[in-house]
Amino acid sequence: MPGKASASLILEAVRGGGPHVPQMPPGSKLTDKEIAAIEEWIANGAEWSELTVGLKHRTHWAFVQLPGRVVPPPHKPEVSDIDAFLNRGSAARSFTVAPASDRRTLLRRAAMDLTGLPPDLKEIARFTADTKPDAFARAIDSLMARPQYGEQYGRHWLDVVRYADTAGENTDHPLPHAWRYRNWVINSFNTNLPFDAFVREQVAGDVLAEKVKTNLAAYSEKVTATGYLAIARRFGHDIDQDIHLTYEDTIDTLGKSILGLSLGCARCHDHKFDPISARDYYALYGIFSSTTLSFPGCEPRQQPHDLIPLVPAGMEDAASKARAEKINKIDAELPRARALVIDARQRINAVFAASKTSCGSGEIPDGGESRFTSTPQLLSVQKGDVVEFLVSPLKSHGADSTLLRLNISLPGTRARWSTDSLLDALLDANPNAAGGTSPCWYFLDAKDGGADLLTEKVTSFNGRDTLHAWRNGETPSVFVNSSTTPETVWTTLPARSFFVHPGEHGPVAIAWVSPVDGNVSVDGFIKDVHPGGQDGVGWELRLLRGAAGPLANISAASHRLAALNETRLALEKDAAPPVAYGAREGKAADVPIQKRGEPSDPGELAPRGFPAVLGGTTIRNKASSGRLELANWLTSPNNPLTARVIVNRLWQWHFGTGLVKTPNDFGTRGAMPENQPLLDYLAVELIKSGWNIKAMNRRIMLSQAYQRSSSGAVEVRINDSKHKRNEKVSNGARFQARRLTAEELRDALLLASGQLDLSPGAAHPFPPENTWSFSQHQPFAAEYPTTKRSVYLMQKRNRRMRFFSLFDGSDPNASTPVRDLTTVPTQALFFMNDPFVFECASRSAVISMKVSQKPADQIRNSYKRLLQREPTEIEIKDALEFLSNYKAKFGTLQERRAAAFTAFTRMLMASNEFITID
Amino acid sequence: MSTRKQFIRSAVTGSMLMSGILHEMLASGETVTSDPLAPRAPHFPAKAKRVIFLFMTGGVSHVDTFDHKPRLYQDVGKEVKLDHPEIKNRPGYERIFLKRPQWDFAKYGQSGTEVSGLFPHIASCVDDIALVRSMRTDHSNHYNATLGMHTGSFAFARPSIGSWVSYGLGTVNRNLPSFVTIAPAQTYAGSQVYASDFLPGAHQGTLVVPGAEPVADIRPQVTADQQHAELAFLARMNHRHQNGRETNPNLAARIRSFETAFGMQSAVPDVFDFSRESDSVLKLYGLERGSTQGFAWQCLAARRMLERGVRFVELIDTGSSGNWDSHGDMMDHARLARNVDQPIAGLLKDLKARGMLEDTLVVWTTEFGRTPFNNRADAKGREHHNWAFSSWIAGAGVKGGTTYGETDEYGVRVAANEVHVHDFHATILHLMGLDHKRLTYRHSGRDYRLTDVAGNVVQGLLS
Repeated sequence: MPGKASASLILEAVRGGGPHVPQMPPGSKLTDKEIAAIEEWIANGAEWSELTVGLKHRTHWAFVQLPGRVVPPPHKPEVSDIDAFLNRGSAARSFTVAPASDRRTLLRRAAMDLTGLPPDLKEIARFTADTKPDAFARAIDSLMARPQYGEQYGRHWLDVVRYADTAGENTDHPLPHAWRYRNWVINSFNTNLPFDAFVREQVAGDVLAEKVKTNLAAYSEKVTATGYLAIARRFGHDIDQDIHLTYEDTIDTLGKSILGLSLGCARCHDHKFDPISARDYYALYGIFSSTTLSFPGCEPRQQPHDLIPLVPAGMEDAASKARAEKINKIDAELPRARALVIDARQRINAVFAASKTSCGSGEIPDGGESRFTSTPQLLSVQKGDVVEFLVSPLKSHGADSTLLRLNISLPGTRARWSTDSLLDALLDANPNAAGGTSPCWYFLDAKDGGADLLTEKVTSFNGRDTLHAWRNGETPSVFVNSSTTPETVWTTLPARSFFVHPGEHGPVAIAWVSPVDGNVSVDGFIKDVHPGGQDGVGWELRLLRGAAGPLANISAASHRLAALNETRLALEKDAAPPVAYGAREGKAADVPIQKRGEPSDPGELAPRGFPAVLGGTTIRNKASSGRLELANWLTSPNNPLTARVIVNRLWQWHFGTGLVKTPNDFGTRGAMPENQPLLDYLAVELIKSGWNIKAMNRRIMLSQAYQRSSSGAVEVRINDSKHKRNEKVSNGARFQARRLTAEELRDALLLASGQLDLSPGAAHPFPPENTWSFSQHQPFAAEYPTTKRSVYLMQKRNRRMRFFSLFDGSDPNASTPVRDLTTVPTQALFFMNDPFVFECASRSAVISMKVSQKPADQIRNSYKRLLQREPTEIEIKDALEFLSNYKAKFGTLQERRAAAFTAFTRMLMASNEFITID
Repeated sequence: MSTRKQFIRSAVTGSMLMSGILHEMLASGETVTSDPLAPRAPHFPAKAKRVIFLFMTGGVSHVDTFDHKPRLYQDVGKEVKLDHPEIKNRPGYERIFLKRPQWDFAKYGQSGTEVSGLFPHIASCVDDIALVRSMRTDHSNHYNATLGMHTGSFAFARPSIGSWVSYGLGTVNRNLPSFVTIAPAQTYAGSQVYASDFLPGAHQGTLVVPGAEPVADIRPQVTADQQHAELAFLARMNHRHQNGRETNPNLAARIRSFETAFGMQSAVPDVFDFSRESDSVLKLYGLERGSTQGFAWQCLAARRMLERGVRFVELIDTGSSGNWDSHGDMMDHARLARNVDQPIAGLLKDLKARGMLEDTLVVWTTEFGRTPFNNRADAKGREHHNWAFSSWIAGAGVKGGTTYGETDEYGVRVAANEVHVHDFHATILHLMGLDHKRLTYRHSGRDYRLTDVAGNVVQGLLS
């Protein structure tokens, strides 16, 4: 109650509590002086936040406008502007400046920095021999011209924006289109998109795209850029219920990534430390709640929607013409293909009806199991006869997943055929024109006494790479769990097992074509593995004389028809315009301030706009969400933060630490810049260059500071008149030796072992959207191995890959401004015992051992490829001794030598030199 | 430094094989840099030095286990009206009826604490247990409630309670992690329940999956001779590389990490080698000799970890399916209770017999309770219930034989002495000698804590 200190609850609280409120702060009472100050503040009108704090904070260094020009201290022409700033005041100080790095170290540093991959020895030799003064500048340009530059610097940005390939809600739904945003970021660094445009397109690319509708490429890129907004984390069970948390996450990430401010704190109250009021927060909130984000799906609503077409409405025609022609051609072929199948079906039905003999049947109850043998025990068969096993639904085909083991053997011989042989070869069975190699087994829909082939081949269903199926629609189906552990999907599928599931209207069957003449014995085991349905299943074993020919016929005809249909479907799917996981304009409206951050407790309306302390205003175009104006405001030269924040990040990405050590927090609680004139100079220069990132990289890397050796102690002696003291030189003044990041390490291991696939990644092999049924009990949890660069690995929010946890990968749930590169024993165990390192070492050893018969040459080759240098004589001697003393126990001489060389290689990979950039 | 040398010396005497390389390491004399896992003094003296956190996945029904509600047996089928999150706008749940528990309760111990027939073994330990019948949590969703019980946050990824304790107190055995989670399968919210999040990565929970190879990369893939040769060669390479780079502390730390890793290779399997446990101990836990599965295995592994100085061990009984989430049939609770009852009681008795209960805190909890009602009078299952549930603690600093708090006549709402998840966390930290308001970590401009901006220590549970 401004002006009335006597009625103040605050005063009551700080004085020790009373009838209305408990004592605040709890535990320790404020001093009388502090209480008096509060009393005076209330009596004077209790001005808060937007005025009081705001006025005070307008003088905070980061909120002050950039000067028009920053003049570097006077310096000799051979010294760069950056070095001049760093060396400033050297009259009062004497430096023991670290010497320049040697050429190899410098090129390795620059290559790791810019591309995340080491240079090869030839490049180092070329660079070392290049004595022209601009050699390093050219090396930098050549490194930045490689696609790997965008992958490395794009990864930095993906850290900042907490990129992930899943939504992060309770089921961690996959985001099959997010990769387009990931690749857009990578390409933007490669094409050197000016940073202001880079920001504008991420915030309002969809709006900007409307102006370039006729340029299809530009249009789709701008739309894709809004993935920045859509990859916001989703929350809860029904994600629209918790959408306010997603908006908070969006605002928080926008604040941290572009402005270097924690805006999220203002959701529940005015920011305590930074001049961001709840009104500022809800002014931004209104902008995002007036925006429609692509919907990723969640447990109650599995399918995505509001995906953003990459082709503007009405522009789809040109591309679709050719597709239409192909579809027409297929349509012309289809009637004949269908007729062939019908013909084959009639023939097989006739043969089956005429030749079938039942050799046993039975039923198992819900959850039950049974062993069976044929009656009679031995069936006399000739080549081309067929043994068929049918499983039928009883009352209902629901919950009828049935484990089946069928064994056929020729007594007195070693000949044996079993469904066990299908566990690792299911997809090769059911022979088809596409190269099936196991001609014995057919999988059939046996409803109405027929034998239609199951033609739909499904690899890795439910996202598990050990589950495969043949089916026609959901059911009937045959499938395997090839894993050595049980897999729980709709029910728990035991390890290493074969299954069938009957269709709604009739049995599913597996048919075995006899390749022999003789008396075969048939037995097996059947079990209902999905208890809880209404009933169990029925089974029957039949012998079909001479049915092989008709089976082969229907197989060929069915596969042909299926292939045509599949091609047609793919063409039709292509015909649907590709989409991005992004943002578009929604219903424009201001929102009320939510008291204490609770959507259920609205206060007054907050007109959409930008934080007042940064010179923000309300938006003008009330019919729009305001994102375009926000994007323009963020990248206006008058915005004091955007340029400062990105040049600081660039400095950090090159040197290891920023000039401001809290790159996501330029607010009053953040660290002060070590050298503000330098930071401001870089920010001004960035804007002057047209926000040219590659030019800024070059400028920073051409400084003497960047090129100095990272080893050895460096001291600065302060020689002012009063004090004589030594202090460590600022961290920013030279490159800091660092461990490889998780991605760099994995890429380096793949590269050393000849496995790294440098082609860019695209979409992940997620299961098709129409099959999704993720729940919190069965969340999305697949992993997709690849030998592409690590930036292309699928990143889950709720289940991180162990490798990334182990080596301090980025946090896919929150902006990661700095990678904490730890050193822990479990990382050492990885190098000592992990199969991945063993495999990489073994492959690398094979490469080195091929170059020569002489162990010393093999050692040289490994040093060159893994550490990018020649080994010293001492190192060769040490390695030779290691190889000769390494007691491999088994195998031929050649195998024992390979084992020793693999161990040597693994230790090179484990060495500090391999994992450190100097 | 001296401790480290002492450890290496003791390792040298224990391993003739590695003496060469270890002497080499001792001679290197590198300085020890700041170690996030170094033991740290608590805020104030406390009895509890370590924690076992037993988490039952899926939501254990309180009225069928630890919260006896006689009226629920009498008034079965009676219609009630409640504004409950799990029935709101849910088709088929327009009307709800009280459901009778399927187990009877009896009084146990000197304290006379009532426990249902689901937990006959735990019932025999009630005099060591402080039972809370007035737990409340913020969310009726598995994911959110599980995240909340582990991190104090019901929506955002935050550090786990085990990571906070590790951060607060460090650890005494560097051959083992400070925080271990033993789980046969991932629970709701996946790896977030044992993640260190913004705390330093060293406080991340190490996942142990019961089975033949419980910890990744721990089993040497080469012979002892070969590994000796490899590590000695590596040490020589690293020392040559270090020459001229002495100012980089990470290089020394990484050399040291290989010695620790070497020790872990024997220390970790030793934890899981139960061959020297007596038959009577195995019997106490209900563990068949040679078996590496089930909660009994997890409990005994936990005791062996605590003996070796691990600070925080969490045991999760089941994954995100096939758990206590008995919507379909409450009788499934019987199967789940059988898996944990004797092992937990065995653990308590074993700890007590060894004097370890004096300085070990045992926590038993779940993400929420289950509804005392359902939409049909004859429904077999129960739904999620976050308004009230039961949990218990036992051991160091705990007032055994107590029951704390109560629910209303049907177990629907907390009637007295509510204990919110934040209060529960504050109490656990307090028992470890940590003030939940002082155990903070600065992250993106703010001091974060396990209990967010809430939490009160429940004095009634303290001895």
